[in-house]
Amino acid sequence: MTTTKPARPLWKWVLSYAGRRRGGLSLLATILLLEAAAQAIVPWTMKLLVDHALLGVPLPPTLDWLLSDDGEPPSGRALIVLCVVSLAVLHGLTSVLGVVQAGLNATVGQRLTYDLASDVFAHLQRLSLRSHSRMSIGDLMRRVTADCGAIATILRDALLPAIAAIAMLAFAFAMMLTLSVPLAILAALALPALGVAFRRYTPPIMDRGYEYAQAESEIWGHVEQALSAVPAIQAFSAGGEADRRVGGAYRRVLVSAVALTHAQFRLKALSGLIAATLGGLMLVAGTREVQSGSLTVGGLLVFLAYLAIFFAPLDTLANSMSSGTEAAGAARRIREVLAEHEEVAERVGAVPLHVPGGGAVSLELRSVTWGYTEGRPAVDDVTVHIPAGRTVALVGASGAGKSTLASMVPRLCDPWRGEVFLNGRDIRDFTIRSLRDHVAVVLQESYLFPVTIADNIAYGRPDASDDEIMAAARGAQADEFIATLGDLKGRTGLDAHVGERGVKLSGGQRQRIAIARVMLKNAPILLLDEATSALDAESELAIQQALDRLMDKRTTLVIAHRLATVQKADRIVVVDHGRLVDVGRHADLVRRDGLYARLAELQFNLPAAAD
Amino acid sequence: MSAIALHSGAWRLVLSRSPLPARGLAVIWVLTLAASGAALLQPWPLQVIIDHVLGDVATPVWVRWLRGLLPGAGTTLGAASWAAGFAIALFGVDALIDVRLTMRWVRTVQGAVHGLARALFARLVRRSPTFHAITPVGDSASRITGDSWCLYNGASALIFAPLQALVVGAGAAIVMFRLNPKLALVAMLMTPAVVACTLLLGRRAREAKGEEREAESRLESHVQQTLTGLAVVQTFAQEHREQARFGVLTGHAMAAQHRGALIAAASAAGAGMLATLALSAVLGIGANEVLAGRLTLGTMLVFVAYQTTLNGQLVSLASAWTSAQGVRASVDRAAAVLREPPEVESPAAPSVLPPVPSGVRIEFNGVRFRYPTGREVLRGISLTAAPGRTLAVVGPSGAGKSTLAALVPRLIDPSEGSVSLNGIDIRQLALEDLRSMVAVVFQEPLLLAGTVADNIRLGSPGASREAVEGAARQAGAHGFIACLPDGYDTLLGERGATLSGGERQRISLARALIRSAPVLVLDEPTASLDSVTESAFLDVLESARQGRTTIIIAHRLCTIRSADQVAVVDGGVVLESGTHDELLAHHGAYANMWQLQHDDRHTKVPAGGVL
Repeated sequence: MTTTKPARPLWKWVLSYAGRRRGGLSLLATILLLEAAAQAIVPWTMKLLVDHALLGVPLPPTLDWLLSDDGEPPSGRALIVLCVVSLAVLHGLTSVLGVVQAGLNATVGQRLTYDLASDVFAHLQRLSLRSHSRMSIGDLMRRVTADCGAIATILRDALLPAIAAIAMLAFAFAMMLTLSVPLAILAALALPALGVAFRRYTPPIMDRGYEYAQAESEIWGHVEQALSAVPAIQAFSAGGEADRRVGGAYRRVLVSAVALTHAQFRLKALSGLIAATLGGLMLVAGTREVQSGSLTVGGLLVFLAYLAIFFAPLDTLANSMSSGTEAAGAARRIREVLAEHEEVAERVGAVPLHVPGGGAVSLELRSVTWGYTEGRPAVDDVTVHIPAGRTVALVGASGAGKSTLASMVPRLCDPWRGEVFLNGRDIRDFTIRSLRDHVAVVLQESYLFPVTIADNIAYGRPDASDDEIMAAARGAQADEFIATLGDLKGRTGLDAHVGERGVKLSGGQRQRIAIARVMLKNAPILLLDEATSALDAESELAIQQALDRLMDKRTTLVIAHRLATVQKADRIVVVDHGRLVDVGRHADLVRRDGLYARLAELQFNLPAAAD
Repeated sequence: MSAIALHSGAWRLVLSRSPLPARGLAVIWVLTLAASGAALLQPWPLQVIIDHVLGDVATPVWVRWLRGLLPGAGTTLGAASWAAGFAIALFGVDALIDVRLTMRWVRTVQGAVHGLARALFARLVRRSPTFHAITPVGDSASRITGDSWCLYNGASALIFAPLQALVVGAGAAIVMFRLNPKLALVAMLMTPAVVACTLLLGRRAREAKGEEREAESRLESHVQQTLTGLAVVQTFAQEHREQARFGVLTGHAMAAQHRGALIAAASAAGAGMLATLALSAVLGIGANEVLAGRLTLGTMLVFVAYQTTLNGQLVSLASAWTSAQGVRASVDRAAAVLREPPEVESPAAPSVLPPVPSGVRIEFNGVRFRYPTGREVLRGISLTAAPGRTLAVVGPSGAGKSTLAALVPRLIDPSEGSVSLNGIDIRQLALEDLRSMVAVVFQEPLLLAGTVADNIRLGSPGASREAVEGAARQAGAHGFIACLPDGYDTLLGERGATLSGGERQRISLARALIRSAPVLVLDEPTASLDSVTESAFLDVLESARQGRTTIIIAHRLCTIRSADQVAVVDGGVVLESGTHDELLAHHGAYANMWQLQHDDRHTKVPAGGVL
């Protein structure tokens, strides 16, 4: 996938999503800080218990003032009760906060994930068919459903804990300073060491994370493709081959999983080693301090407790860096999709197209050039003019660029060069939605959605009444077979559900549903791309009559290999290898003895051969 | 109870397809135990320093022995240094165990996940097209890529988390009992309550997880379906509707996930609160004991440290149980795939078709076919294709012609009646053998990811480049393939999207022709071909049919010129059959169709044309 616009820095991009869930995230951050605070108080309570309640060291003046009862210092037992109660309360509080945090974690994380997934899905829907021809649906499925979780990992599982960890670190450091300055400074040495470790060992984690996600998505690609082509795989006994492909993809996943684990381990081991070494040094230094009398045993205990509190956030930081950078690898895949250039973008200031009721529009494709691959145009400098309400037929060999020309009208692709005009105005001046609302298309391959037959027919017009849907079905000669349909749940006729990819219906039946869609949509521009290729002669004849009525006042572009269906066009445009080779009416073209005449001759001699 | 029995069956089924290797598991067990041991040892260096070096608690023999043995350990500072050294060494051992353990997890357990995913894929890719017609690709893909992780999560939640929790917890408990039995008893009091609380929530956790998986797979299906039908979505300007549906589905997924998170949080909260109660009790009683001189301060601190460990293990045991319940939902979804055998399988003792030089005779004997929905598309069809001859099946779309074609390579089996080759029921032949004798061209090209050559080679794995080119030439595809950027090595876009319909069709034709199979089944092979290509193709067919028994399905009579026999099918029955001339003379359905196409030709060709 190629990135075509400079990407915003990752952190800016991540923060823009954090902004949308600022409430939940700040609540979560507050809870994390409260938890940290509760944790931070525990050692002090322990110190109170050990030094003052058990070892009988006199209370410091502040506490003495706070706890003394009419000048009497509190008894050991009273202190014990105080400490125990406060410890219990602190633990209970931590527990409750933990639960709230878990709940929030789930909610905020999912919202973040689906905010992003929704953006990615919307972007994918806007991308042109050319972009999609280069992307695997399985891969995109994984990006939308799995990789989008990266944003939650980065924000919720890495950034927030890191913030809490840093706060905790600062607090613990301050406490350690009050207890013993040299020890605290020794502990602080951990920070630069870890900084170096992070710098050195996080980039490989991001790369391995990206590779792992890529390897996983390869599986999705294979699975989706294979399951969409099951009849071919079975008929060609290619099941074993498909198994091998998926197996190979899984082996690559395992290799990347191992590489990722290694990269993460390096960071974890190094930061752990730094912490453990410093911890050991502190123990030795602390012992010395106690021996020299500058620190009480309770003081050392508290100090060591803070040391633990000091190192726990370091550990958290290391984990955050590790999981955050792995997720950043997956996020890279999301940003690739989002950076995919919208070839067909709405112009700033585009206006809604409005065609007065029943009015016809004129259409002109002027010197248009377009192709799937740069430098290899599938359509090269072709001009087609369709006066309002007239019909133009595109004729040419398969692969000549006919479908490509038609797909420029609803802007499924925009020409590299040249323009398309509607009533003399560049179609890019109109909003995409309003333009497409005015174009009805029967595509070469009829795709049915996994909804009811009625919803499929009413796909372009969800407001259509049952009568209108039925009328459209009749016009497309689809009413008879629809009446015989029934799905597994016993719904019949128009209410029957179409299975995945509509394969329960034959090719001709699907095509008739697609034609019914167009009849119902009733748009002023009609594009028929091999609209009746899958139909038998009898249905075709009947549908052709209905289509003729539909084409009557509409501006129509017809593509057909069967010359019989295009002879009645007001004008025939002959294309070959992406170039326009001839324009005229049937009789003129036949007389000119060019490509059209050859196509026509073959077409009409064929039945004769069987005589 | 029956649910549990069913469930253990599901686990057994899943494990029978992808066993977790005992050796690997054993290594993980040992490493986990070692890691737990290291965890148990961690508080000791600190305790020794505080109690015996700094404090004045009677030194146990082993400490004295160690201090005598280790050089320099006699002094306080030396002992502290040794303790620090031990702490660092412990960390090193811990890290080493940790990396071995993680790697084992990846290789052994993730390996098993991959094994299960491959088994699921292998099964799904062998299910009949009828099954896939009603099962969304997204749902199947989600079972393969998502639910296969049940082995990993199951191993973690059901084997290792409990193991670690039990070992560490039991270790801690033993130490606690030895330190102070009375306190230990108090500490353990809450354990049964934690267990009860967790068990109560398990069922709900399972249900929530099941709903979550269903919701997620619906979301994946929606993404897959929208992207597959994107051309229709865009031309009908319905992106907003698909986006809204995406929003609804993410809402469902979120609600289910949220419920799961709440249940998990509630379970953790219960365990956490109870653990806190136990801890406060121990602190209260312990402090009293210290005051009374029956307990040393160091012992109490170590005791509390162990109890915190024990509590942590209890909480993790509780959450492991909750997540184990969630895993069951995925196990059920995976088992559901494995439980259903493929509709079409090789017989246990296959017959072998003796080679017949004159070719293969195909007979349909009273064949009926009924969809799971109850619709009967074939109602007793008997037809014969003579060896080396061509049988044409014509009829309106939806007549059951494609279903008839799918019976020959056993993509589906008839509900009644049989298909036989040279008198042997094809269900008695090994599937692999049968399919190697049949080459099919489908109505939809069903191209796969990969290069052009890969796609043609599907028909004959390991075919040489010359053979591939030869087949492409035969299919009239060589010309356009040579013009592609990388020729035969050009990577096809998703489903061959960058090719025109006719080009895709010719590749699928080459794919069939490269297979030197004695039976050729052509389902509307020329529907999307232009007349030049069609004519060339029919010539090719003429030679390809030599010595092959061919069944050609068409709704256009020109395609079936020179068929030896023609059968007219409508409404799932054979209306009439015979040679072209016989049928014309019969003045039945065929004669009508012929007339229609004939008339159509004449009415549409303007008078005075050169034709």
